[in-house]
Order: sequence, then C-alpha cells, then structure tokens
Amino acid sequence: MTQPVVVDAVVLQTFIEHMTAVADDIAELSTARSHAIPLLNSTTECLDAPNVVSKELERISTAIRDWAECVHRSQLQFAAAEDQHAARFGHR
Amino acid sequence: MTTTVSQARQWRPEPFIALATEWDTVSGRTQVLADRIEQELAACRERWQGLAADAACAEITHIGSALRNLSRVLVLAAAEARDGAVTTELAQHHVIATVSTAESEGCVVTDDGSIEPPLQPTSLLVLLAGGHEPAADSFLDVRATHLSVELKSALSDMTEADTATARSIDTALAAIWDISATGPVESSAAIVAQWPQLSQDQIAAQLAALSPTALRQLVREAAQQVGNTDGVPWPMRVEANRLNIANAILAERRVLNRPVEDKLAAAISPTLDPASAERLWAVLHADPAMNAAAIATHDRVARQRIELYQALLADTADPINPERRISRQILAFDPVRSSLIELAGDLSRASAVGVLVPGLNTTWETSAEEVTTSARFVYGSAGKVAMITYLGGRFPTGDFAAGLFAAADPRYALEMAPRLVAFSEDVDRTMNRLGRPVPVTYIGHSYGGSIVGTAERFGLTADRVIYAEAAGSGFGVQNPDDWHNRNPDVRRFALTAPGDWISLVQGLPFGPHGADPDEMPGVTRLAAGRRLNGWPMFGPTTHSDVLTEPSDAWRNMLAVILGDDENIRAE
Repeated sequence: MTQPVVVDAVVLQTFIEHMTAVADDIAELSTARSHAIPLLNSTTECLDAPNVVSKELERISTAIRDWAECVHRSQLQFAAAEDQHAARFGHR
Repeated sequence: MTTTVSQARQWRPEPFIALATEWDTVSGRTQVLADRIEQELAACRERWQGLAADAACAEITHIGSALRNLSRVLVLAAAEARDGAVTTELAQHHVIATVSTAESEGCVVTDDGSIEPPLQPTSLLVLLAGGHEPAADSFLDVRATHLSVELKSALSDMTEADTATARSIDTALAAIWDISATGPVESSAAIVAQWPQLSQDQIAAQLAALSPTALRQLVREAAQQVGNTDGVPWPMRVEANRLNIANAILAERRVLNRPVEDKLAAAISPTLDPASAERLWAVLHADPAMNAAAIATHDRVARQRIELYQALLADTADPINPERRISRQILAFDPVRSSLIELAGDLSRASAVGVLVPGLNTTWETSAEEVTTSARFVYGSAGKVAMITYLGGRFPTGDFAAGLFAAADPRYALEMAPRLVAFSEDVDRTMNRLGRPVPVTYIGHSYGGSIVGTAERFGLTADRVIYAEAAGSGFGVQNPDDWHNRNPDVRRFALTAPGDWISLVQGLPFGPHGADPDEMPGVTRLAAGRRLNGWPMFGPTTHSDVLTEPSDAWRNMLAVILGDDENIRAE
C-alpha cells in the first residue's frame, strides 16, 4: 500500500445514501418518460428513440445502484477486517 | 412505403414538439443529478481516501460523465425533433395545397396521390378549346397528370422528411454511447494544451495526423477549444460548436432549475433594509401572483438565451434554395468572448467568399439580422458566393447619444481586430485547400469598417476590402501606408451613400477611427446608385439600406465580392 487510507464511515454512508437517492431519481425519470412520451404520429414507422432514452436512464440508474452496493459491501468488509485485526491484538 | 394522402392529412407536428419538450426537461433534470454526484463526491473526498476510494471515485465520476453526456445528447436530439416537425409540416402543406388545387378544379384525388380529371370539361373550357370537346378533355388529362406528378412528389418529400427526422434523431442519440467508445489516443487535454504555442498551420497538421476516432474524441472532450480555435478544420469547428451550443443551453437550464427559494431570494435587492426585505420575502411567499412574477423575472434572461441558442441549433432555410432546410454552420461560439461566427452557403461550390463585419448595435440577440444580410448575398449570387458573418467580440451599443458615444470608442475595434487578423489567416488557408481560386472580400459596415481597417493595420489577409458606410479606415490609419495587409495585391473599395450621417464623422481630425476611407488614395469609391424603386440612394436610412435592399449599391458590393469587374460601378 503506497498511500494513506482514510475511511470516515459516517461520511461514506451518507454519500452512499445520497447516491442511492440519485439512482432512484434517475429511475423515476426513466419510468415517467416511457409512459409520458407519446409515440410519434409518424407516417412511416414508430420511433424507438423514447425507449432508447429510457433504457439509458435505466442503465445509469442501475450502474449507480450497483456502485453504491459495491461501496457499501467494501465498507463493511473494511470495518470487519479492522475489527478482526483489532481482536488479534487483544483490543476486543 | 410512401405516405398516402389520408396519412398526410392526419399527420400532426405536436408529437415531435412534445418529444422535444420532454427531452429538454429530462436534460435539465439529468444535469441537476450529474451536478449532485459531482458536488457530493467533492464534499466527501477528504474523508474517504486510499486506492479503493480512488477506484470507486473514478467509477462514479465516469457514471456521472455518462449522465452529463446524456443531458447534452438530449438537447441535440430535441433540436432534431423540432427540425423534423418544421420540415415535415412544410412538406405536409405542399401535399394539402396540391390536393386542394386538384379538388377545386373538379379532379378526383385518390389516396395514393393519383389524380383523375373531371368527367366533363366545363363549358368555358370547351369554349376556350374552340368548341372542340375532345381537345378540352385532352387539356384536362394533361393537367391531371401534371397535378398527380406534383402530388406524388410532395408525398414522397413528406415520407423523406419523416424518415430523415427519424434518422437524425437516431444519429443524435447514438452519441449516448460515445462516452464508452474512447480509444487509446493521446488525451484531448494534452493536445489542446499545446495549441497556444502552435501556429495555425501546425495545429492543422497535428489534427491531420490524428485518426477519425481520435478526432471525434477531441471534438467531444475539448469542444470549447476545437470550436473556437483558428487552424482547426471548419467541419470540426461546426461539429464542436453544436456541442458548445448544447452546453450553453444546459448552463441556462441550470439557472432555470435553481430552487424556488433561491429565485425568490434573488428578487430581494441587497440594498433593502432588513425590515423591508422581510416584508417582501413574506409577500413573495404569500401572494401567488408576486411569487410567479419573481420567478418569471429570475428566469427571463435564461429563457431568452435558450431560445436564441435553440435557434442556432435549428435548421435554417438554405440561402441557395430557400425551400430546402439545412443545418447552420457555426464557426465560432463563445458566450464569454461574445464571439459568434457563422458561414452561410456552400463552400464546395462557391467561387468567392465574403466576410461581413457589422457595426454599431450588433449583439448576439440581433445577430440573426446580420446573418440574413449575409445570406442575401448568397441567394443573390445563386450560391456563387459563400458568406461569413463575423461577430468576433462585443460591439458598441446604445440608442442615440449613448450609441454615438459608444461608437466613438475605438476599444471595440482594437479588441476585435487581432482576432479578425487571426481568423483571416484561417480563412485564407481554408480557401487555399479548396484547390481552386476563391477570393475573399471583407466588408466592414459602419463601425465594422473601423474594425476591418484596424485589422488591416495589424496584418489582415484579404483579396478585397469594402469599407461600407464605414466609420473610418481604422484606428491609427491616416494613409494607405498604415495598412499592412498581408496580400500586397489587395484591392480596396469604399461606399458611402449621400446623406448618410456617417459622413459627418468620417475622417474627423483627431477622430478615433482614422481617415475617411472614401478619400484614401488607392481606394475605389463605389457608386451608391439607385434604390430598387429607381429613386437615388440618398438619406440617413441608406446607412443600413445599402446592405439590406437589393439596390445598385448592393449589386455593386456583390460585383466586388464576385470579382465581376464589368459590373463594378465606380463614382
């Protein structure tokens, strides 16, 4: 390890929660769009564009949620490792 | 499959407009969320460090970039949807007008666009056919065939407009995936960081060596520099400036998306005493009309700017064929420097280029008028001329005395002239690469004359220069030796119509704009001639009329731009 490690559990937990909220907001946009945008009254074919946008919103929402879960797991593992090492040195 | 008449009649533009409006709203919302990711990340970074933290932060930053990219893509896709509504509606009007004409003449219109003539010719038509009914029938057949061809063509145009809209929207949306298509190329930041030290030729050579993928990435990641740097090929500048305009729209949306409380707080003047401020704050919250008015006032400028920027993204009538709609070609777009440069016309077929530098009271808000003036030269020459409208910075503005006072200030000319000199080098190189002689004429109108003259003093590259109703020959220009045009064979012309007030300030001793260009040795004085209605081009309104009215003066300038010596009328 070449650099210092700082993990403020409270700050990080708040950040994770906020990012999860952002993911929810994006998902809401996606859901709202897929219902609210009428299909084009096209003379030829229906445009798939509204679905493309919704899918991208869903993809980004999922990516943020996955990221938040991953960071949360990593935080738990980090805390568990800390506890384990602390116990080894007889601090528990 | 071609559109049928009934489909054409039923078609409505509203779904396109609704789609564009939805995407505009979503673009604003996604930007707010992308901003939130960035701000929250910055806030917690100090308390979260280490290799794992770096990796996690890089990942969420990348996701945030994808969200930001989506915001921009949606602005551009919305512009395409709006363009589609206009283009398809124009085609629809043509269909409906043709059907209406056919039906008014008694023809039978079928859904596929075929048109049958009336069963019986009218007695008047028979009479006109010399009383010969088969001849009248034959005339009706020919007319019906002609209308049928026109209607089928109009239906085909409508199908094409609809298909083209779908294609344009799909293309705009395809940029969603650009963010993950980054290739192993030198970073965009490193490339543009070198530009201040490179000549325009070196920049052009550097870009010529990059792969198409690297160029696309550069446009995407450094749109501000790519769109506004002389030496960058013009198609790249145009592409980058569409992104810059989309970014400018998003910047204004950020203003619109401020919390309501912030907007209401902005309505309270900081000079108000605390008690009055508190009373106003209470009223703004209690009175719905006051609340709405405060929010509208806060949003007004941002909405105006969004409208202006959306117009820059929208298609415009092709000056060569006004029935066709084409993308605008923005060669520079920089709100911070008030720089807006636009090309009108088709360089691939032009035999001459004009650069219009306008004058007093030119602003971004009124720039459309200048572009229309330029486009008129393109249309008037049937596309032989391509025109550039040059707003390279701020122009003096003001009504009456304030305007005259501002116009007496040479600062604007001194600030813009060096930029015009650099741009003229870019224009010259771009023309040289066309592989055929395309002479370039700079037209400095009013205060723009002083800008062009000052630029000539600093080393403008031009084939021809017209000082049109010019304020002067340029700051510090008292005789032709003060001009240092890079082209030793430059030809200069001046046009000042009699009765224009500008003649009162031209060449004033100790005046800020240099000598009177009409009196400069070696400058050909163009005749103002007559107006469109045959009256002499005379009086105060000639100041603008010489550019906006297709008069002798206007044709004279067009002849100069075209190099049509036979039709140049000197005084």
